[in-house]
Amino acid sequence: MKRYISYVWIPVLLAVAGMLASAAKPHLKYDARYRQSEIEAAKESIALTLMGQLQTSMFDLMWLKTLEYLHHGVVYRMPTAAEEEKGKVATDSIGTAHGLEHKEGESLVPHREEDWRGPIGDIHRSVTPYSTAHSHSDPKELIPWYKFATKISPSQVRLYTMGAFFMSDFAHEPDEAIELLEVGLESNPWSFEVNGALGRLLFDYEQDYAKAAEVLAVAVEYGEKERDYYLARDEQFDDYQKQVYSESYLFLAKSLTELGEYDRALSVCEEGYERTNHTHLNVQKRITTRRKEGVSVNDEGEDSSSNMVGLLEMIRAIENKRPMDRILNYFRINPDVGQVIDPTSKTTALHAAARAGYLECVEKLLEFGTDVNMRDGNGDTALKISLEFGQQEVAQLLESRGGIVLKGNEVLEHDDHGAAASSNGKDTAAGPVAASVPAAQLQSSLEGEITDFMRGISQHDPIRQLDRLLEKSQWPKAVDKNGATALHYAAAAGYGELVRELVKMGAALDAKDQSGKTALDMARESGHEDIAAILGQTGSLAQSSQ
Amino acid sequence: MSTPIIEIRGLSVTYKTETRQRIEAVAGLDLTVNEGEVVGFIGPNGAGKTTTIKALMGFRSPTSGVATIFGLPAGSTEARRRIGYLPEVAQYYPFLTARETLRLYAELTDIPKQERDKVISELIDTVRLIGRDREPLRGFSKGMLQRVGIAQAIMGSPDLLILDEVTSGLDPVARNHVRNILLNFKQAGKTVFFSSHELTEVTQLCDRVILIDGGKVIENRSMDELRKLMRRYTVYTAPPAYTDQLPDGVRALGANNGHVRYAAPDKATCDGLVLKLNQLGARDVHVEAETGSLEEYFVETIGHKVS
Amino acid sequence: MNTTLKIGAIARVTILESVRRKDAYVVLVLGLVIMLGAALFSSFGVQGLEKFVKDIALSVTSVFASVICIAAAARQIPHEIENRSLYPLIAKPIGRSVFLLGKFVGVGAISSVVVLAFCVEILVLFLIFKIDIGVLFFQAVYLRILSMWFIAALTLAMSLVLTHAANVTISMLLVLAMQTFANTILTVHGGLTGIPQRIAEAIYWFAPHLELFNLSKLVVHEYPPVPVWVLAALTIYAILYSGIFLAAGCMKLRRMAL
Repeated sequence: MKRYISYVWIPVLLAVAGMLASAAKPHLKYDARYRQSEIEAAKESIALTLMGQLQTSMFDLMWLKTLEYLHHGVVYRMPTAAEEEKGKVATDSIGTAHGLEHKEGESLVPHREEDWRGPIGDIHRSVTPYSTAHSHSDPKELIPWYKFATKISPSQVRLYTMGAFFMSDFAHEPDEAIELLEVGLESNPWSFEVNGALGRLLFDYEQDYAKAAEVLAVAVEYGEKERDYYLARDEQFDDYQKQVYSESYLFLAKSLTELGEYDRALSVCEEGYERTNHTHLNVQKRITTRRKEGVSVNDEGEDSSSNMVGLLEMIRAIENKRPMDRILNYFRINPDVGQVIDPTSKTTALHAAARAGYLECVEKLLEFGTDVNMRDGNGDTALKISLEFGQQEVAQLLESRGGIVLKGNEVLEHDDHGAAASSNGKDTAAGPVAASVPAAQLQSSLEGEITDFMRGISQHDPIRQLDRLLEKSQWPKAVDKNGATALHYAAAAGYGELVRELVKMGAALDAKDQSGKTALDMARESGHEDIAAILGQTGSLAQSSQ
Repeated sequence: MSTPIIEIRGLSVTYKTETRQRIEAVAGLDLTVNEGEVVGFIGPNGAGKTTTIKALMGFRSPTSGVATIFGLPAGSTEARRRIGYLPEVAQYYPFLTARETLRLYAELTDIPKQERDKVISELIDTVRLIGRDREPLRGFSKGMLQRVGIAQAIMGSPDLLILDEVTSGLDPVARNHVRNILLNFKQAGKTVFFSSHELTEVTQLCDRVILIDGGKVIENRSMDELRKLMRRYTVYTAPPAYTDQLPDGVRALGANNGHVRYAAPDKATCDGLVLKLNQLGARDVHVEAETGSLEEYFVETIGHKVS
Repeated sequence: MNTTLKIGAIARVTILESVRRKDAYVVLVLGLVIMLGAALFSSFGVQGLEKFVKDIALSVTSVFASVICIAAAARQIPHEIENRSLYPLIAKPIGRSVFLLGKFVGVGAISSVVVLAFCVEILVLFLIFKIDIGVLFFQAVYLRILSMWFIAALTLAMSLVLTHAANVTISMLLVLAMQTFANTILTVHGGLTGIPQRIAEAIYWFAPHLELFNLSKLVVHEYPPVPVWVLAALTIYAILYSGIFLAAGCMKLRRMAL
């Protein structure tokens, strides 16, 4: 009996410990109201150096891991001083999503011609991921590393926003993205970046305008404070912060418009424009005004802002005639990037390519569904630009694809909505421009691959075909020997995701196979009502916009 | 009887301590062990017994001198094939059972596969581990482990047994048992060379004793010879004492129980002393003869305690 | 024939020790927990993240198997000497080389079994998460097992000259940091000239290139299988390198005063 008496102490001790813990808990609560710069500074401080170091190096490790995944396991390094003397420099990587910007260095595994190790070098190259070309994988694969990183550095807000961006835009898992951002908000309730990104997702995917407005209002409020804090220290927002800040205003205005709170929406537009000079806020103001006045509009500002992602970089890449596969990476991030005018440079990808005389790029852009007569911010067509800059080859190409010279406010009779169409991705993509690309031209070079690809749609899992789809911009327009397009196959097989992607990439909805059937017919015949609904909806949208 | 089994000539073994000091553990040692002999190898702690045995087994190479066993260089595989060895403080794998341990040694001793089980069972019987042979050694007492050690040493009935501290850790019953095992070996005409602290053991078993100290042989005598040397005569007489006129070799041992005692190393001296005492008119003179212990003998020989 | 039997006997005891010490089980269970954790982590997240699961599973295998291999190899001989369990063994008619080789075979076998056990775990995991397994995976397993024997040889040989702690540290560094070390030499090489460059090359040639036996990244990022000649070359490399280390180890052990 005596023996057991000692055990009585255990629950007593546990109870005392529990009471102490609950008493201490409020005092231990982590008030994460720190700014990014403060956190960085704290990490440098002596008291936090050890933990900070640990956290920073774990974070660095995660960053290296994401870069490794981004490059299919191939590891790159910065050129050494000796290499820089020989003229090797690290250039900014083109076509990477925001937050994944990095320098393109040297391959860690030496190339054969530079390797002094002979056969050992060959072995090294065969057992280690190695590539002669710099290419990027699907950023979707980085998501787990982002999630890991958020666990290690819960105060690194950019991790949540980046992870959410990949989840929603690449993995098509908006619910997961929202969940991640909500977790991020728990640790960083004050962060305008997390609030902004969350509001944006709530608006886009959940159509939960009330909640979006609530979150975005917080984002705007804290964004402003954050900006003032930066300004007071002579610092500036980085590009991403600027984007989130301005978009928070834009989507707050949009949400309020949807909720019918027009006056508030208008004041948000004005206030936002005053602070961010974001042109879309003016567009939104017009839309809201018209909505207030009871005029139904086909929301012209819609979606165009998302096309901004990477556009300016892409234009720069085209101007510098970077390799085509890197430029195509931008399409992986945003398939509509070719249809948008960059508000600052007032140019588009096609115009930039035309001016630079980048023939291959012009061809690809047209294949990708860019309207040959799309007009830039000044109202000029690409053909006009190419002639102006003496790019004869490009001019010939554009002419052969139906290009015409138009400048300023010149309007062609049958092209009366040209500018509007160019700024609205959906319309152009599904419209007649895509169909105007001669299928026969593609046909000859692609015969075998096409059969393989199409067969793949009906046989394999759609994700893999989706990857292949993104690799080749021609797929949406390719036709097999029966006259069927990838869209026909995908519709018949019932792959909704693939259908959506094909449509987005400019697949012609009205294309008919030899038996005269459209993809919509195929979907109905195979009993895929969901696909039929997608095709029907998109088709009618395209119809109405014409 | 005269074929030398172990022959050591001028053996020196030096080793470095952790402080890089060189210590000569064995310094010019000579010894021979002949076929069929049981030789006890004794000496105080640090005398060089274990080092000599290690050199014999080839665990340490000598700095100078030669050691051969069966005419083969000490430590050679061929020599080791005919030796059974029990190390001073050996550990056996605690995770193995006694039977598994002996199986390992049987494999290493080249015992043919078909005989292995039989040999192992017999050994377990011999060292009296029956009933415990399937338990892991982890739970064995020091004495039981020593029995496993003895079993592995006598496995395959080797021509020569080299045993370092064979009876250490054994209780009197077990010690007696080990003694019997060794006597059986002796009767089979095998050679045994063992070191021990238990001098009683040595007295009872050995044909010859080699005493070393400071890495050198101090005494090398047959047991018969030693027994003679150890025999002592004590002469008792009533006081007064006659120390001044004592013959050579006689020592006065002091008074005890109202008697004065004198020690005489041999019978002749003793007789001379008795005669002398009687001449001097001593009363109550009587003589006691004792076998004497090896321990006392060595204490006298090397001037300090052996063990 | 007899020598083979004796090597086998020593190896068997070495394996029995590991089996009865049960440390491998702990590691296998721990590994499974981590792998399942990673798998669940990604399954609760976004679908189709096979790369991540593969990465974690293969890294866990390589780290844990190496740890077991190094711990077992480094422990063997110093432990035997310290406990004096070595004496009765080498008093028997066996060469000390036989003893060392027996230990090598034992440690190699344990580590290989651990790798294979991890592979079974991985295969089950991949089956559950519907991840394709190709030829490359089995090539990776083969090289991983080969590298275990390689590590066992290095660590065993080094255990004869280094203290236990130093040996474990150096072996772990060789396993974990060889990649970084080799890369550093490759990066630095171009910037050097003359003698320093030759020294860098010499260091590169001398170092045991354990990093070449790691195909995990190829498996993770879905590369095609490795050419057979590469596997053959690596096999020869491992055998030669381990052979040299074991031979040196045997020589050292033979002369060692015990």
